[in-house]
Amino acid sequence: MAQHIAISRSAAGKVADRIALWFIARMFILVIALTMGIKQRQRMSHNNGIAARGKFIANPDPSVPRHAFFATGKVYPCRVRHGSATFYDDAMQCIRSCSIKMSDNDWDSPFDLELNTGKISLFWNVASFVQLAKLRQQQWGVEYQNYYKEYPVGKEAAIDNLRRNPTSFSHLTNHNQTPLLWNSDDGVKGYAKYRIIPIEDISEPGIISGRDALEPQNQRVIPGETRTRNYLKEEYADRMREKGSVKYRFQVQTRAAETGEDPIIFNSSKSWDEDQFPFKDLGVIEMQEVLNWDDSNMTTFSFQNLPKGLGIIPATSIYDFNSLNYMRLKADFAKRARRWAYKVFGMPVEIPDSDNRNSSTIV
Amino acid sequence: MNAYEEINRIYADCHEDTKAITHRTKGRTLFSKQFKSVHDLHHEGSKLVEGPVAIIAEVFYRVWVLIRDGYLKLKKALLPRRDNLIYGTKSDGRVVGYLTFSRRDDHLIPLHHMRLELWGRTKWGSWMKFSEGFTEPDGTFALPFDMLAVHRYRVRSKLFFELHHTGQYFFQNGKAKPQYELYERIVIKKSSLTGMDFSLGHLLLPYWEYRQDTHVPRVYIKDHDKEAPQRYKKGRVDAISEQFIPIELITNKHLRLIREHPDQIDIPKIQLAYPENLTMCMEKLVPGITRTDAWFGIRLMNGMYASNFDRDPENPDLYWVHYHWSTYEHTDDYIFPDVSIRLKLLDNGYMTPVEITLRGKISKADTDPKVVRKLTPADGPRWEAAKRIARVSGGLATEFDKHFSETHANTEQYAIATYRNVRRNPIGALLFPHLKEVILINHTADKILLSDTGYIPRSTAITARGAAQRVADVLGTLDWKNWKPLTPVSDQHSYARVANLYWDMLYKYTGEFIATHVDEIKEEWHEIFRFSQDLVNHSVPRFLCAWLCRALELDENGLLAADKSSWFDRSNRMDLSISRPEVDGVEKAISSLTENSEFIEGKDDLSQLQQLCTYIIWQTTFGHYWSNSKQYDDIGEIRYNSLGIRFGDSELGALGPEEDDSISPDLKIATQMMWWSNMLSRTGYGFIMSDEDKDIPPHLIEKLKAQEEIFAALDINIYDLQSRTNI
Repeated sequence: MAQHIAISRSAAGKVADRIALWFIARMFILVIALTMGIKQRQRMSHNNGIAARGKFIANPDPSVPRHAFFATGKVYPCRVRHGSATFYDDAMQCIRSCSIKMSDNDWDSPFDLELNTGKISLFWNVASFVQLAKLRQQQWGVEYQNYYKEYPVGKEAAIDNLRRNPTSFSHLTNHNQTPLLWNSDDGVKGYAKYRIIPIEDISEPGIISGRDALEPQNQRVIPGETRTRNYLKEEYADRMREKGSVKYRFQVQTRAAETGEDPIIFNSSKSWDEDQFPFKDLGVIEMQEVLNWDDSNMTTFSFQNLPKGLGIIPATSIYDFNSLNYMRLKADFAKRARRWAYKVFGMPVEIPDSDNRNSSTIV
Repeated sequence: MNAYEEINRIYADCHEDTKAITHRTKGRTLFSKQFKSVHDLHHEGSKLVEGPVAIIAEVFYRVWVLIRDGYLKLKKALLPRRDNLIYGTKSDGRVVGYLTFSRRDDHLIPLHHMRLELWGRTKWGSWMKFSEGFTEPDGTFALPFDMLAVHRYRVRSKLFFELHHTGQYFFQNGKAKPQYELYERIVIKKSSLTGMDFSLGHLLLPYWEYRQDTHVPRVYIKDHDKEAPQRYKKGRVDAISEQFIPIELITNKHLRLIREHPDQIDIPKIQLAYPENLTMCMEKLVPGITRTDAWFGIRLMNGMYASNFDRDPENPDLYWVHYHWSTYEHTDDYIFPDVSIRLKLLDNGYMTPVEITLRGKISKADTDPKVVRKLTPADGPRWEAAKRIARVSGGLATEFDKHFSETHANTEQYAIATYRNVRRNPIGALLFPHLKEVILINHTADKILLSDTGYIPRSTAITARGAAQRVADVLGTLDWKNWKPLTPVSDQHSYARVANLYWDMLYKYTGEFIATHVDEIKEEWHEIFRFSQDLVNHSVPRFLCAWLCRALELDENGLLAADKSSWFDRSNRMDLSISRPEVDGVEKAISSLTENSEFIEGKDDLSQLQQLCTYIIWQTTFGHYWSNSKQYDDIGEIRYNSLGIRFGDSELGALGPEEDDSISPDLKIATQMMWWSNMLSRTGYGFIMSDEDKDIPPHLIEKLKAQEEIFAALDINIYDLQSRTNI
């Protein structure tokens, strides 16, 4: 029987880990800023989207540890942006997103949050995110085949995240997946995961199965598809026009911090047990007006925009599960670069309803 | 003194002096000639490192190898792989995957219990083990490791995912423990290990795979010296170089003479050039002694071609021995009659021939392929010639049926099933030492013995296709279940007595081994189950020749009840009274050992395992030793017994006198026959008592040693018993 030797990080090792995290996050964001942000005037992924404005009325469940930001009765102006990851074609099998900004500004806000369909994420730390980026290998709507092969959890998450032809953005459930701090007003430290669900009690559309689940790497539109490249965005705008508003329920799952807790609880590729940590209401989001293409593009979400006590959990290395949010925090540079490029080179053109299907470019 | 006493006296005088089995003596010197490899042996001229330039180059090569090995040893000493230490205590990352065999027919068959290890090296070269484990019975694996340990800055960017198999076992406090050897190494980039699971996917491992071009269970070997599942130990190649090169040089000289000056060489000269064998020695002392009926009967009882003696159904006082071949594809280059020998058991316990029936053409004048000749001692010189034909048939039958099929090919099917499946079960310690290397020598035999250009199709009537069919049919008559060695017909039947003595010793030994390791055997029963499955699934169909199908009183299920056909000797044969497993509607020759992947108490699986292990070890050691080592005694004199004889030029055909060399094989075949009989009998390496590779369970050596004198009384030197079938 072999004897296990405990390994601990030396002080120098810990410093080196932090430097590596800082350096890789910075370099990655710099590359994104230069290539996608400035050259292509694109977000890092969810470019194909539509934003709307409205309000958030806080009405938290009494059992949620209290935090001043979500005090009962508080009303915030709010923007929501729905997107489809990576491809400019709503009829493809994509991860859908919902980003929330508790203000009616392009940038400034007391609270921003980025959420995606599915409970778990395709990557769980900066190191795995780098692998994901390296192994995208996208061609004609097929991507990540080798990533899924090497990382079974990534494939499991893709099946969980991808949505094929949902009826509406507003019918989807979106999770932020990566835990954030939830330090309550009474001084109890804790963590939170958020989700946004339709106000109506409907079963979520677009969950993949069958061949789509067997081959999540194949995100192409179904042959003979009649839905257009913009059908989801158009449906959302139409819905807003017809019904006057679109409502969502904003919920949180919280857990108290513990001494000696297993870092696995911060793993975004593992969901928290909903029986033990049920989702509870924080309030209702009501969107009332769709923004135009240019305003939608300008609406930017930042992890800097989080209230005290609800910020990110510190990370120590690229293998730390919390390093994902650390990198998101550093991503503002790329976002600013994109917005700067809009101003200098102009807004990207709106997505036409053309035959350019399965495309990761607008035209 | 009667004839038998004289024969025994002369035999005793000659036997030890002409014994072909040799043990290693001095070892090779730097400048001695050597074979390139065992696989390069060939009766047309083996690949030898000879000539000053080649030898000097070889010396340089060997010096380089010495330096390289020294450097590697030094490196290993300075930077050891400490197997008993694993760096890291957490399991926050895993390398996962699914391991199967890789050939078309078995790429969905999981490779269970393969040892897996994850290693890395520090920047200054030290080895660090990060994880270890095994594949599950379904072939999946998940090797946990500590992310912090793997991602330390001192660890190099490449990690090694290693697949180890069980090379051999070692004994610790009397218990067998597997010793793992690296089989395959996969490089993993450290950066790929990001936590959670990193999947190597479905790994297809070329590992002890069955050939798909034959229904006989044979292993697939891509390249004998580079890509075979096993390799010979260096000592094996050294031993054959040391012991056989002098013979090789004689054959080479003969082949050159035959090519350039055929008038300067003949059969007697060829014979004299080689070391004297048993019959030549005896003939020198008493001319004609090895051509007597008494000697003929003795060799049928106790010689290389010791056989089953069935009672004559028509005359229970007589016994029969048959060599029936004619249904197998053959040519008319050599005679190939069916031979039936009728024998009488004398009061002194010896068999003596009373009639030989030859069915088939034996002279050029014969036109009927089924012509029958019955000869008796009253036929004078023709009787002597008939005995020669019977000896030749017996020699060939022994080569095919007893030697190649029953030991080599039979052993290979057990070797493949064992090595494919046994990795942790201590049964491996019992079997591995006796099963190793057989696949290598069989692969060589395919090339130089059985192929179209091999020795057998060129020196006998049987074609390569006929030979392959014969091997398959013989395998179809072999099964381990309820098998027992030949029952002695008398006290003089020393072969059968020693065969049983050895069997009894082995049976006790395997029983004691199983009792010592019973808990571990039960715990790893899945390996036995998979072994049994492979054995049965790849077994050839059961075979019973048409004659026996007619002659035996089989029931409607084709089974032979215990009280039927009492003339038929059931020892040393497949048990015809039991039904056999069917796979895809085909009745298989080999019985299943167990139907359960987990050990179930109350069944007789352990006693069946004991029987199976005893059978395997008996066949691979004693069974092979007997038929192989006595070749030089019984087929070491060309005119006495060559494996094939020709029709001859006289009207008597093959019934002509021994001196008529138009009957003997031609000169080339004759010297090659001497090459073969010397090579097979003379190049011993791998003896139980010598335990050259230090893998024979000590208990076996102790048990054999304890019975040394009893074996010696039956003319068996226990130090000559080979531990495996490797020649």
